Amino acid sequence: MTFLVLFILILPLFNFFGLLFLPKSLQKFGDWLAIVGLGISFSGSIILFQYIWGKTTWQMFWLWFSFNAQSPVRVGIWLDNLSVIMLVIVCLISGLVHLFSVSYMHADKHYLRYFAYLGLFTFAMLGLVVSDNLLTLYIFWELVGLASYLLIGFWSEKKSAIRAAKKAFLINRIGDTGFLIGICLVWVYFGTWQLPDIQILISQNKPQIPIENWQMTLIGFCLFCGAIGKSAQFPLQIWLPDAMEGPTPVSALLHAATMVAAGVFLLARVFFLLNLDVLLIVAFIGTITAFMGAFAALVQKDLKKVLAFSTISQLGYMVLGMGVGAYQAALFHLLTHAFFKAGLFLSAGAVIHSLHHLGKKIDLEFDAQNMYLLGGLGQKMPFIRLSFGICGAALVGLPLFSGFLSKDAILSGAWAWASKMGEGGSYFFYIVPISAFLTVLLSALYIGRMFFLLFWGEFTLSKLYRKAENAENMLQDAPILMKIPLVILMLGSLWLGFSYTPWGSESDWLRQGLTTPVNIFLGLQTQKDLLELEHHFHFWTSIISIALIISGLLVAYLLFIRNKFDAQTLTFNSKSLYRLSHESFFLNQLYQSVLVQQGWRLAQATAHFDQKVIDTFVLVFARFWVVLGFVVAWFDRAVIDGLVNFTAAMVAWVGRVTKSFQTGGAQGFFIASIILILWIYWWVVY
Amino acid sequence: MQNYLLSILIFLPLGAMVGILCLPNSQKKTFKIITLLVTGLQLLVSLVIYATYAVSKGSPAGVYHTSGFQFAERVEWIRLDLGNLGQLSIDYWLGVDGLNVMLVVLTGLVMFVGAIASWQIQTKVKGYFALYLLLSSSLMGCFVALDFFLFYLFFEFMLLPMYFLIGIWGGERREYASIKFFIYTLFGSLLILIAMIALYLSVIDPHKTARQAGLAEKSQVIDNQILTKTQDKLAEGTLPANNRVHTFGLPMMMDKANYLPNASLQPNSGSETWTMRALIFWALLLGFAIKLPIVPFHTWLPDAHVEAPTPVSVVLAGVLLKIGGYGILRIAYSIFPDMAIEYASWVASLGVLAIIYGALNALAMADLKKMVAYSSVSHMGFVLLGVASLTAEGVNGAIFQMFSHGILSAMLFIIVGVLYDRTHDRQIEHYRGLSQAMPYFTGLVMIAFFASLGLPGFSGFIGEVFTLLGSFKSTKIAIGISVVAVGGIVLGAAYFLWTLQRMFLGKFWVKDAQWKTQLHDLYPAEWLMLGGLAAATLVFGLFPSLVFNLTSQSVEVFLGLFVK
Repeated sequence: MTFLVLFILILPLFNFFGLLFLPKSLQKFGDWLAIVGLGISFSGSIILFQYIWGKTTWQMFWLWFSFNAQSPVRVGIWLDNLSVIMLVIVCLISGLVHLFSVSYMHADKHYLRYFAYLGLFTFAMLGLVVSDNLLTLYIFWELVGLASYLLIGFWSEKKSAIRAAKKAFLINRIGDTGFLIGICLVWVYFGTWQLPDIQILISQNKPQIPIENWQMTLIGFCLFCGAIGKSAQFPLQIWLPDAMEGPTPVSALLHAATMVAAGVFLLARVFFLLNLDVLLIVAFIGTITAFMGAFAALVQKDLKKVLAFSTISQLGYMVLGMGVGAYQAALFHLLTHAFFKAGLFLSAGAVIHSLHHLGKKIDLEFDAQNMYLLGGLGQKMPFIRLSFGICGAALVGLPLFSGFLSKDAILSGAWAWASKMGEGGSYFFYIVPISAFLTVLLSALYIGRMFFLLFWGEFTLSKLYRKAENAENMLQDAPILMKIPLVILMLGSLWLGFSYTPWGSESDWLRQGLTTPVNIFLGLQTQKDLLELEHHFHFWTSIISIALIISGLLVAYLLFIRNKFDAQTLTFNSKSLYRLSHESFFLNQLYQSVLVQQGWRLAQATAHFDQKVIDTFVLVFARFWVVLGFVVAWFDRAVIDGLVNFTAAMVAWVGRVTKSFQTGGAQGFFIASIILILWIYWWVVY
Repeated sequence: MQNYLLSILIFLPLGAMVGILCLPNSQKKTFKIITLLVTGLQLLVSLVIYATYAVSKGSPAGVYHTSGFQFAERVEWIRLDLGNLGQLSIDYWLGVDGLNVMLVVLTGLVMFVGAIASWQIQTKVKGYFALYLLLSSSLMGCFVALDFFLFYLFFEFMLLPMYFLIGIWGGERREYASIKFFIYTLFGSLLILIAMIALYLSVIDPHKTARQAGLAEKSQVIDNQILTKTQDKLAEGTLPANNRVHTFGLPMMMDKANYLPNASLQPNSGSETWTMRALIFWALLLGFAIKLPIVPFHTWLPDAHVEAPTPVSVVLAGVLLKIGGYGILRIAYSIFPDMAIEYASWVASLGVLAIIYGALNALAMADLKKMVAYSSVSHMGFVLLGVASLTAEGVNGAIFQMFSHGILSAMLFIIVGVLYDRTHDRQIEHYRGLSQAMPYFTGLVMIAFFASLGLPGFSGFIGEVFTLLGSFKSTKIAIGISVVAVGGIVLGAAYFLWTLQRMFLGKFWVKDAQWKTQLHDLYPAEWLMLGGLAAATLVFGLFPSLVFNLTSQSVEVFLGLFVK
């Protein structure tokens, strides 16, 4: 078993190193080597799935290092239902993205490097889902961040791409500081990072040192911060729309199975230690994010941006689900979303790819992602229209599609939670389900708008550019290598794989498998009640949401097709609501002016302070001594040495005076002698 | 042979230096080869020490156990009878335990790398390599000396070669930088000197005192009983003054029982002398803080780095700074555990200040080398934070961080050197999109940057996480301080990634079109250095037990000082 898991993990990593250092002669097979490797990983994870799902859990760990016997640091593998299904999904989506990329990226200069990075990305995500402890989870978490940095900034000559990559990494880092603090606190209070062990310690209420409720809240919140960053939750969601600067298949991978899924996965892993306060925060952050994302998706011109904001919104649903205790529903949505969002992105990729080629053929430069330029593609690209339609239907949650099952589960979970929490007559909690329903309407609106703009009506490009006249005949549908992954993703967007009936999913294999872990803060009874209430509200939830979706789609149709609402007015910047949506609540500007500019100013001020104050102080201090030295030197020369010189001069003068006596002349001596004798004589006599 | 390995480490380069001085000036190549060989041998010997360092349970772990050091050498060096002032005794005492063994390995590694990087030195070759070897010898001596006097000797001796290496082979403002470095560090040494004398006056060596006072026969082995008896007599005050053998031995200073009863540094005395202990503790801390460096005593560092030639920067950041951290561990903290506990939150705050302040400065720097220099300040802040935490995680983490930073800063300064060699320009804004001209170089730069910003899998991560973990676990450090420290990792990522974006990614552009021809990718020697260091940071990041196995026992003994 260990061997099998490691094998699954190693192959993508091998792709990474192998493709970077592949000898020249093998380079033309590089892409297929990567795909084969991933295929083997996928088969391996299917085998693991067979072993584990619904049957058992399996844990294996090794000592990594230790400081003393009490606190060993371990690394390990933990396979339960959640991790094996994630393994399968990650391998599958990644494999499909690989396949798609063969035709999407084949003209790229660094084609192999691209596949190498994909390998690293997949490896990091696979490692993350099988980790049995928080430290290794964090390690892979950061590696996911690195891989996303490399892939988002893959076209490193493009300035916007590098900026986006840096932004993604840094914003994630902000969330990660919270995560890291949480990890440290877990170590302090529980003395271990092994998730199963912590679960036992919590359920027995036996932390290493006594822990109070506010400390539990702190730990939970800090861990949630990690998810806020990685899963693009409010207020750190701003990196995700920029992240589409990377190649489109990367976006598909990033938005579906890897990266953003990691945050929700983390929440699932630590669900048992989130107390009521944290769950409340989680629920509200999720609600806000879901609404903001959907709202911002309404007016974007760039088709990938719409999808990016839609991802934010869908992630908001998942986080919301976790917050309201609808653990199963949230994970269920994570899985269904992986399929339809990958499908949507790959469809978008196919559109961009095809138009890009068209642009080259007719020698026309235009923004191949601007939806206002791309209208009326449906005629020539029926396959993409179909795939986009199916995946989009799943996203808005139309019946018969997978999104219907999972989204309604979250919605009724939220409703159940609000009614349970609001038992005392408080309507405060109803904000969450009401806002969630509102978001359903918005989702229908933006998906409808996107679908109609792209595929309905006549070919817009030929109307706008003279060069593009009759160009629609040159437009090609997706090549076969793109079609295969899309077909699989379309199938995954239907209800079939997930549920026995298209109406409800409570008793289906998937939700039965993803059992909610006991959260002692909620209490077993409450968790049971919530589940029952969810079942209870299910019918009405479906009715309401279907009604909302249909009205949303209808409005979209009426606005964008019948009335050509903003098709002609490309610059439609005056209305403040429009601005709010287009700029996604001005969060970017806020961060730019608060964090970036003030941070930069602070850095400059610090540097200035360092140079002008601290260093100057040191210099002045040093100079003080030098000056003092000069003063002392002057004193030494003038006063002390002066005295010495004075003495010496005195001696010299005396010497000179006496010397003058000694002329050496006999007459002088004679006179002197006579004077002397006379003087002695005079002295003796008197 | 094994018993002289440490002496070999010290005297091998010293001998080689004498050899170089005897050779004629024209033998330029020979000097380089000799230095490379000698530092290579040094690395080899330090690896032998690393490999044979006993780590099994119950093997000696040093710190304050005088007999607990491995590869120990102890010979009486100076002994003077000062009458009523007692006996002065200085030992030639070397040894390794968990606190310094990794630093010996680090010194071996960095000096070797520095020797390779010195290959391109062209002027006054003889003097350069003689000084380089002298530096190597005094650095090694500093890390393995267990007698305070000996330590101080090496500590001072390091200044001389460093001063000339920066002052003669440095950049434009080399004279300013070298004199600043010299005087600043000398100022710190003075504080250490004061502390050393104060400690010397307060502490006796019970072994030698027992012999001197006739408590043990000449041939008699001194056991614990005799030691206790001596220490008891000392405490009673019945030991005649002329029989007291004063010592500079560091482990002796860590035992309360060795202090004179009326000494000003006596740990058990009342509140009156408490200030004296605090003063001396802060004198030591400040002395080492200048070396580490700790904000606000760090301004010599960017100047010295910017002016120093590449190999000297490598040694300066890679090894010299660690003497500060090591000194705090081995001397300030071990001898004054009471004060360390008392001021834990202050010291931790200083560490956090260095982390944030250094990172902010690094963000604002326009000169790549200055950016790297300030990143050193930031990273060494983690060392101080870890030490201040007084937990197994924090102290082990701090030692690991020192080791890891030694590797990474060497790598970063070589990276700066690679660019500077080609264009003689270090301004970040003068380069763009270097990845297109120098793809392999950029690859290694990315490894160095990501490792430095604490990406898991590389050694920087372990150092950062465990020092932080220690500070969260410590009961002496407020949680707010630790939380602020975590903010340092965001800033760290910010300045490294921003630099990466500005210099290495994007469209290729350099300020001077002539440079385009000069910017060729790595030469074999550069490959060797950067590749080797990158491998080292990866290996130690994946297998931290390569360090922790050796350090953890001694750290446990060290932490025992703080619970007594």
